[in-house]
Amino acid sequence: MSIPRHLKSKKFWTETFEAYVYLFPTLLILGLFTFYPFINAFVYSAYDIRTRTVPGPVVYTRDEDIDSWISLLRRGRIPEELASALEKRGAGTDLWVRLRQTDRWVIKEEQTNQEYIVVKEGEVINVYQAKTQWALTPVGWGNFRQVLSDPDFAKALKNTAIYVGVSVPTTLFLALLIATLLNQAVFGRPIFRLVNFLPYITPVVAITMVWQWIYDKNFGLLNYVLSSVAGLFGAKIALLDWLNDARLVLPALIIMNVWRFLGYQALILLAGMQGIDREYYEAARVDGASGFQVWRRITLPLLTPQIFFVFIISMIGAFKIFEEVLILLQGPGPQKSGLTIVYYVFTKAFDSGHYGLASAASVILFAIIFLLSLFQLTVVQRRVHYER
Amino acid sequence: MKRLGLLAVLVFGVLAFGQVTISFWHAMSGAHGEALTYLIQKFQEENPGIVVDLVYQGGYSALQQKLTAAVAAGQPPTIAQQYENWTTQWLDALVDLDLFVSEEVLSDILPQFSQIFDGRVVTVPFNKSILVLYYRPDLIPNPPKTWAEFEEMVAQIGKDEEKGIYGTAFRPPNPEIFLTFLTQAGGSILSEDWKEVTINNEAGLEAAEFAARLAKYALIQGAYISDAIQKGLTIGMWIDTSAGYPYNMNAAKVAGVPLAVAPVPCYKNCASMIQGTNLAIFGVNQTKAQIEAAAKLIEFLLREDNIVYWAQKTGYLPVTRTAIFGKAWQEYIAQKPEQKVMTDQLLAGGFGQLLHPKYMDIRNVLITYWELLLKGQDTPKNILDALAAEIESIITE
Repeated sequence: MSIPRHLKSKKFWTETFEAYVYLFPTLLILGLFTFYPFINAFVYSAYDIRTRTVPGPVVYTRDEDIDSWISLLRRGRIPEELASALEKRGAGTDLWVRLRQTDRWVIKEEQTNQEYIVVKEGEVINVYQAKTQWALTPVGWGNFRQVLSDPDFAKALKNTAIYVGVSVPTTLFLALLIATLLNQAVFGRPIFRLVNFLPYITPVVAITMVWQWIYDKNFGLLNYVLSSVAGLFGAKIALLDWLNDARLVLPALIIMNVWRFLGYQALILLAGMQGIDREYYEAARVDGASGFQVWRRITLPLLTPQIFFVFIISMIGAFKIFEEVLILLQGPGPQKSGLTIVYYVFTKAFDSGHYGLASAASVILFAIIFLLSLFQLTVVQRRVHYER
Repeated sequence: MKRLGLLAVLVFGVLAFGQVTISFWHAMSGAHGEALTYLIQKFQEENPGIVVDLVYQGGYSALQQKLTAAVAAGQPPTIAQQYENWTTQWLDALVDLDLFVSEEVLSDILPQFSQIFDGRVVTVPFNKSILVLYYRPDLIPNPPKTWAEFEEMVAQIGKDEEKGIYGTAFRPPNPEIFLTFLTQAGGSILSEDWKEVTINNEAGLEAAEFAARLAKYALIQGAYISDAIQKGLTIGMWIDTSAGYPYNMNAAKVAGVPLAVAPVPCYKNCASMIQGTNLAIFGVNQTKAQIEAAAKLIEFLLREDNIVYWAQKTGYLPVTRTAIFGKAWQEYIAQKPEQKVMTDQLLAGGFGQLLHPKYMDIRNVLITYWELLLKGQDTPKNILDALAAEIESIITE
């Protein structure tokens, strides 16, 4: 077996080492905040996870009793007095004993992992010895079953699907339109490009706060514009309660985010358009193609790599919609009309502490995104023209 | 050289004395936050050995999420504000206060605020408020005293969305108003032994139908009602927490309309729900010295002079007998009729949260169905029955 030449060179190894030194901070952060949680989500999804706090001593006994209790327990029997004391604390009967500290007996319940410390009667409860414990009980597919049968999750799934299904194609279509317009030699193009891109670089919190006002029922800009336009035609429309009407919440989220991502997508598409070889256009003109024909037959096919990229990235992003819901609706919205999958995960984990359910829901979300991306990479990508 | 020696003695003294640092997580912003900061400074001056690390955690939901995560990580603060239904989530992590706070202080707490969790005393009331009626004296010269009067006046003002006029207002995230109606009608969520769901019995139906009738003339929005007032909407009267007093008054001032406070109209009784948080000490990852320091802080905050200061600055209610019946508070409310209304409301019928370990989940479904009721999505009877079924499945889980 011969070692490849480059592996023998000292330069190769010093350079590799150097590269990893530079990569280390990124790898560390990615590992800590992306890969580790990513893998853990899969692990957690198979467990019922509860944190329980093990208090200090909770079971009292008369001094001399302890030793006889322990010997009974070791033989698998529970002394009556201890059993009733434990029952008051809500413990079951599946107990075992282990010695933890110098002179303390710790009784542990098999099922729940709850620990009880036996102390002498009259001793002050040392609650400050309390410790938090994680109790992981394997439940197999139990979390998935529970999530999939939860009507809230079904609602979240439906809302997210509608949101993705409407907002992604709409944004892409409008971005294509804007990119085409910007690709013409219009006056003040840099300014248009900048203005178009601004929403994307503005923090989502700031954007959402502004849209909160835009969507206000009585004093919002949107209703003002709508009623003014209707007024021009002599019509009168009822004021729309964008953020409090269950039917309008999703449209409100969609409109805001279409606007927000339009500039970014248009910029990528524009860059793609400008990279298309002029020769194709010139050839088409010589053959007498109309403007639309050129766009349809040359620009569009040669832009498919960018369109594909934007489509897949924005789809993944759209599935993960969360901050907008949190800030715009300050909750899941009226009748949970704005409940999305990530928001569901968030409330399950951080409001109610069901980490297992939250992990299962996020694994389901991952599976959906993964399968859709796979479909696009295998089926849709065949229609992408990479050749130039 | 002499100075240096003195310094050394001082430094040594402080070190030997043992500085204890405790962390205090809260959600008090604005004027409330300033009042709390002042009290903490005063406490530190009185107790030179204790340093309180006061941490503002944002709004209540942010505080709840951070506490949940902190308890799970085994790193909670020493002391924190918390609602009852949060407390039940981490009961085992809390210190039994009767072991550390003097009996004198604990027994002075008003019975309206007394809370026993699973036979244990783990919280003391801190920033407590109560539901009262806010009304526009220019539209309603004599605020209603009964449900019938309430309904009649609300209907009189009616509802005109174009002009932004509403008889009353409700917030779906605030089912405490429904619980007030429920209690006034003699109903309850669960039977006394917590074994049966009673929310959909006759009293519950009366409360739900009453709310549904009012909702026809109501502005229904998730945001605080003061937002609507500030924007210039006209709302005849609405039930809201006394803690919202400064915000509602300010909104009315901005909108240039008068606003006053009256007791919540009564039905079979004059019950009104208490809101606001309590203080609890975490036992996890704390030293005994830290827990004792936190207990000292609780005793300090429940001292009459400090309660009265806190109540005057924030609009929260005094929580001990000594404070509420004391000279300072009585003289204060003699000059402040609206604070007197709130105090009287508390003494007349203040009731607190259900201390059931599953109340967190119960409240979530209450919010869901309260919204359906307000929006008239179904008949009150059907809504209540569905709600009762969900609560049933929660408590038998």
